[in-house]
Amino acid sequence: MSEGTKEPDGGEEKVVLKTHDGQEFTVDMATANQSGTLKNLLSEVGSSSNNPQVIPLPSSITSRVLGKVVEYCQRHAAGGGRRGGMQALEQFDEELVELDKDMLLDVTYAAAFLDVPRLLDLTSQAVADAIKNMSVEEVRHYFGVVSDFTEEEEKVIRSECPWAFE
Amino acid sequence: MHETHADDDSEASVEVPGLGAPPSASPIQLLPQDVLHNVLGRLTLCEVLACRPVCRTFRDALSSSPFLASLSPLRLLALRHPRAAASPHPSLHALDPSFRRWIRLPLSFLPFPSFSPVTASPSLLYLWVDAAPSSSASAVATFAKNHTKSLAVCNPLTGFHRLLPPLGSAWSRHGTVLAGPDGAVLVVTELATLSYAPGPDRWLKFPLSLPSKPRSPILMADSVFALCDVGTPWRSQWKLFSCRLGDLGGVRGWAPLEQQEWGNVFDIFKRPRLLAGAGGSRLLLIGGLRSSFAVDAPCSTVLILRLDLATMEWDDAGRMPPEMYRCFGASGPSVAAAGGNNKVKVFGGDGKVWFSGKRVKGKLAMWEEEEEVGKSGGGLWSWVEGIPGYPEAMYRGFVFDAGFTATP
Repeated sequence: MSEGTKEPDGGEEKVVLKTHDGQEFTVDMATANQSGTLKNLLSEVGSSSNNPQVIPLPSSITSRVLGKVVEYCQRHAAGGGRRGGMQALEQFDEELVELDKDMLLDVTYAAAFLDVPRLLDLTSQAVADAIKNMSVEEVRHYFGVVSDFTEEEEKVIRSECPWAFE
Repeated sequence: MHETHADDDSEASVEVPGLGAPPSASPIQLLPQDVLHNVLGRLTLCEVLACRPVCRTFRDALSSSPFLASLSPLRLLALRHPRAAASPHPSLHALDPSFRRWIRLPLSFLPFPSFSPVTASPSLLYLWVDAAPSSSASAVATFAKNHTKSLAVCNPLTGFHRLLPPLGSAWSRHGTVLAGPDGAVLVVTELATLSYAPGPDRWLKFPLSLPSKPRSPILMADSVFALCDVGTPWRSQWKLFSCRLGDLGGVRGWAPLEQQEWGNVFDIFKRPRLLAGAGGSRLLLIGGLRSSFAVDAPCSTVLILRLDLATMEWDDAGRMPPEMYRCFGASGPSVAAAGGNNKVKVFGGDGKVWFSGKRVKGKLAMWEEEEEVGKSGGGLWSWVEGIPGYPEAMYRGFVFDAGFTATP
């Protein structure tokens, strides 16, 4: 369970994020505001410490994935001013995306859904870096994609730009 | 963390994708297309195209025009292949300088019996074509009966092409073709500049008010630059002229670019040529460096000077290393002999210069500009091996940014 940060004026506003598998993450507003989606939502409905708003999330965002996003948002809500400055924050970012590929894609999905632009940047770049210079077969294998083209169709697509496959 | 099970979850949680995807879909196939674009848009253009056959989700996402247009173009050196159309698989031979590999862009979509690539603007390739009458009854065919050689523009990546209107006179074919922004084309001949814009879709002819035949004209940042020989029949004396595109027919027209402080900067060159420097605000002047001011003085190497158009100051941008220069020379160890020959072709643009020569078969010398101005004698010199095609040919070429940012 995630703890909130400092209390600015007594009772601090909290919000509860609830995953489809029933897990709840209680976060403070600064953390929630890292997400554009939550920020918009909360600006309309509001939340308080006594009666925190519960926000249910789609099933595609599992508690493990949400845990990663919350970790990112908490760290970035605190900013570079704490725990070792910007350098430590950069290192945190780097280590955060050292995930297996399915998790990386799930976090990418969650970052897009929750609108956390910099996290989306990090994970998207990590995925792109992973498949750089891979052959078609390697990309399929990496993502666990089964080709839905016939041999003939694939040949046609390749013939459109043969030089890209050399 | 406490796991409270959701009892009666009446709050409408937002349920998203995965609906239309196949049951065995991989997580990558479940991403919304804009998110997939965000991921794959970080790949190079070449990598993006190479990912198209992965699956339908990829093919569809990677065929979207706005997405393709957002990718950085692939910077290439296109060769002016003498027999580009003659091969059973007509193609544009080009060097990808960042990986030093030669690639072939298929041009078999062009319906012309012969063609020869001459110049390019971002995403667009211009070619002289033999527009022989074809069976397809069109204005093109009618026109082609009278004029067999014409300019065409195409995008080799999308396979679209278009013939430009006829140029009118035969001698225009001997002019230098320059391609500018927004589909503008110039043909600079000894006597006139022909200017084409896609809007009015016609050629305008402007007489050249220059003291002599323009040599090595280039188009950079909305202006045409050219060298003119203002010397005597016995001794060349070069002068730099420029004209803004909008001023071609205007009163201002062509004007010399000169400064008192420059002195005799052009006199140290034998057969100078102009090319665009990197970034669109610097000119490169390339030529044999005379070892003395004597008329027939041999050259000691190739010199590249750079003119910063903002400050109007020259700096020494690069000198070909002696051992490289010797390779371009005539037979025997005599370096002096090398200077006299004119069998070196200089071409390039945007901060890259290539040299081909009769004596350096199958390879090119390449110079890459260093961004830092004022760093004398800088730049990177290297050999590029493995020219495809005919190793005995003297190649020329031009910079071509292959991409999806423009269509003919």
